[in-house]
Amino acid sequence: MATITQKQQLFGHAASNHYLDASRGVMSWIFTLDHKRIAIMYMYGVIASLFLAGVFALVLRTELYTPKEWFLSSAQYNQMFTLHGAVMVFLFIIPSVPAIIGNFVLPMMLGAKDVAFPRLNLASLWLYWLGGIFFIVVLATTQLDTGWTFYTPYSTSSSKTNVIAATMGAFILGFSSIFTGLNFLVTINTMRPKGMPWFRLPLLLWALYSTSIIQVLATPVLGITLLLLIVERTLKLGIFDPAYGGDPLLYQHFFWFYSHPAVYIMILPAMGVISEMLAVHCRKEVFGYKFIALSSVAIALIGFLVWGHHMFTSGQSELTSLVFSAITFTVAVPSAIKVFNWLCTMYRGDINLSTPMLYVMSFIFLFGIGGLTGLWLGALSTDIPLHDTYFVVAHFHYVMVGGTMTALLGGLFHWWPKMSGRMYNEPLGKLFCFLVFVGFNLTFFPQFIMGSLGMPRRYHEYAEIYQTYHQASTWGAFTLGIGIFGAMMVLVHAWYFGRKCSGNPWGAATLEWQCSSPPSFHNFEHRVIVSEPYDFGSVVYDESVDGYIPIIPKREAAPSQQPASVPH
Amino acid sequence: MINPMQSLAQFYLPAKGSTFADKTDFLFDAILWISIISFVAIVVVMCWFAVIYRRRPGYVPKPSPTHSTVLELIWTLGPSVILVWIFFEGASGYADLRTPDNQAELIEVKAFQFGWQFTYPNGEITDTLHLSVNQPVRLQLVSDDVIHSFYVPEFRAKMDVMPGRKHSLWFKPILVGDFKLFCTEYCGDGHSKMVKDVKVHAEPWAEMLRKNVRWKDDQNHPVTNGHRLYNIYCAGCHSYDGSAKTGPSFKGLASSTSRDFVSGPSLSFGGPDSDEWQNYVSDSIRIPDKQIVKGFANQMPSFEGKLSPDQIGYIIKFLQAVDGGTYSEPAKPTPAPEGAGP
Repeated sequence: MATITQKQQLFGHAASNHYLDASRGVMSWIFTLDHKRIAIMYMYGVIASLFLAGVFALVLRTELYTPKEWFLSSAQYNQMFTLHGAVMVFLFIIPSVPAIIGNFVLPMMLGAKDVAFPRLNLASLWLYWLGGIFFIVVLATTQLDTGWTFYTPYSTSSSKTNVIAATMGAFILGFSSIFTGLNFLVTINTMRPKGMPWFRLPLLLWALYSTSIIQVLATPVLGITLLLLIVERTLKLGIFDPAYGGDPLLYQHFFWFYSHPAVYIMILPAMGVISEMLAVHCRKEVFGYKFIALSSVAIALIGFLVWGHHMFTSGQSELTSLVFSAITFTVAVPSAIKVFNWLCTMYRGDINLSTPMLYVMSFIFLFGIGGLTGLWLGALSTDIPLHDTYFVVAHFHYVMVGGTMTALLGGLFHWWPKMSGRMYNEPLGKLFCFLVFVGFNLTFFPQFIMGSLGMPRRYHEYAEIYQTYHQASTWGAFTLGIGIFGAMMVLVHAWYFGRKCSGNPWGAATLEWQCSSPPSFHNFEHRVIVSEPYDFGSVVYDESVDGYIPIIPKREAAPSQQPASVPH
Repeated sequence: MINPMQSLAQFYLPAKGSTFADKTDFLFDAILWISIISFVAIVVVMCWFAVIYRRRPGYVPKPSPTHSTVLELIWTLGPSVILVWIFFEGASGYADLRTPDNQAELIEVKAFQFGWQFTYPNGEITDTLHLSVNQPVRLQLVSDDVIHSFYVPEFRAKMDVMPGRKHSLWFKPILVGDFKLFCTEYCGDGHSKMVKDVKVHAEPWAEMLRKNVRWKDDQNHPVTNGHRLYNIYCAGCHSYDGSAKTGPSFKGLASSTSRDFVSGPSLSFGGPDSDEWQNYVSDSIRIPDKQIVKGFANQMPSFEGKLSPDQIGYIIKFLQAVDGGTYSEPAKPTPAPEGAGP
């Protein structure tokens, strides 16, 4: 009896004194150093940003239902698409997976109590809030109409909107991102437990590590660029505006030097999440672990060298365009490797078609389209007509939303039992996953066609030949909106009313599942037992906790039998 | 014979309006089929695995390998070969895009918030782009304010229009018809209204220009008309700011009271409105070798028959206006109507 109680305490549903209960009051959250609480607070901010920018998207799509102006003026439309993009990029998608899922599970995957620098972690959250406040200021004042890219000289000399507040906000959010990256790098480098060399690291950590390298190395360039932009706008120094002797192409080089690697800040953690969920829900070791792990690093490094493919029509030299096109194709290879390895992981698996697994399959489908459509944009001659059309819009939404947001939703369903200690409603989870999938494709697939037919992006009014595609897209956007909202409601319902679950309901082998759900303040009440991250034979189902518990290897201090003869 | 691929392509590609379209569309379709085949393969395999290996009572998964270096090398190198081919195909199309035909006629394009202006080799300006079928053109683009971008989907050509630096773009239209020119770099409130007509005419270039790209004198101030004629016919040899060129400068000409010549008697004038002065200017344009200004050689061709009496009148008005050495655009007599140029 005693052993069962101990088991339940260690690996079951935490009855009390878990991290959510450990202390009370608003201050205990605002000043917490607990990575789990910081993750939860990040989640509120990120989901609120998703909601806000999602509403902007629906307003845009509604306006675009008709080819001529309907209820938004050109100026309002331009502000709407700018804020949709800026909020989605800086406040939602860049922090999404690392700050929520990364913060919550990274230390636990290492069997650690917290990240290496808990205070830096809290500072990163506060900077995130501060950056968010700047964007609220932008919303409340003259708004912003430059596009999220802040291209000069429009942003420095022509726009009448609050460019400075917005770029300040993005600058501050950049530091939040750097802090998180730095923290993860140091944590993974120094806090791996005994028995976990690099090639026993869960693949999510490989992905977060690669992401963090980009965050630390690329984000400062964005910071410098945005400061220069502010200086140019206020003092007219002649950095980016040719009217004062500056060069607008310089701005584009600076901007994309960060913003292309930022694409990998967005997608790499999502790929890590997919690898984790796939292994667990197929109950099978990830096929080609080393290839997947190293492909994350390869993507991170090559990702630094391809920024010029955003500028094929900008007037950069022909040679520059050729080189960037060639390097762009090399980055396609590691992405393809991942997809093939994921498929092989499913081969002869024990596939549990749960909600997270459906999100994984949805991810492979959507990221497949997003990745393949990149081929048209990487090839020079086909990129020229497609550049800055809806084809590009559809392409990056397939990667960013179809990829990252799908992985984020799937990841939330997958780790929700760990975060909340409760199970979500499986049929409803699947229903809304399906709705997100259908809505997403209905929104963005028509955009490929109107793009290849020549519909430019960022157009308030458009030619009537494109109207059918726009209308399909608008219907899709509302379906997608309902799907995401429904999925969130399933999670909220689970948080309060879900069935209580054990520490390891999925039978996963990574370390974060070796503690109670939700985890205690200190994460682990016992020394973790490190095995291969995807050795599913290392856990066994235990009825008394209604979940999986690790098999504790037998340790013997001395041989049980007397040796026949004593060796000389 | 109807090519089934081509009739299918009309649902996702614009008409083939320039010589670039064939090559670009070939690569577009090639990538399309590569993508469809690999995507369908991926999704079919994924769904098939999800069905046959799904967790169910009585199902025990068989052991399977955790990695296979051979397999992984195959799907690393296999796609790489295809990617290299796509890169070279794209680069070769791009090389065509960036290598102007040496028969190309030059059109200067100015973009501004929120419109376009086209200046043709004959000096005329329009706000609709007129082209001749099969006549290659090179557009030299420059912006007055922020970045714009020149894009005609049918021509498969696009180039950003920068302030402070010139970019060129060339193409050879092969389809007669009306097309739309889009601005494809976000430039402010009127961005989606920076759409202009592009007309590709069946007539040869010179005839097309004569028919469509014509200045309308009656819609402009006489001095503006004169300035335009000056730019086309006179500016090569005569300055109006006093700087030295092949011929005498026009600065101070209108207010001069006398003129000395290489041979023959000097003339004296009673001001710019006097008959003597106006006749002198008119003669100098029509019969330039009659009186050669002292210090200059007889190099000017006759414009008899090239310039009408009205046009000579505009030039006289222009000379009066630039007497001080500077030119300022007079206010237009009427607000510029749509298509003020042709």
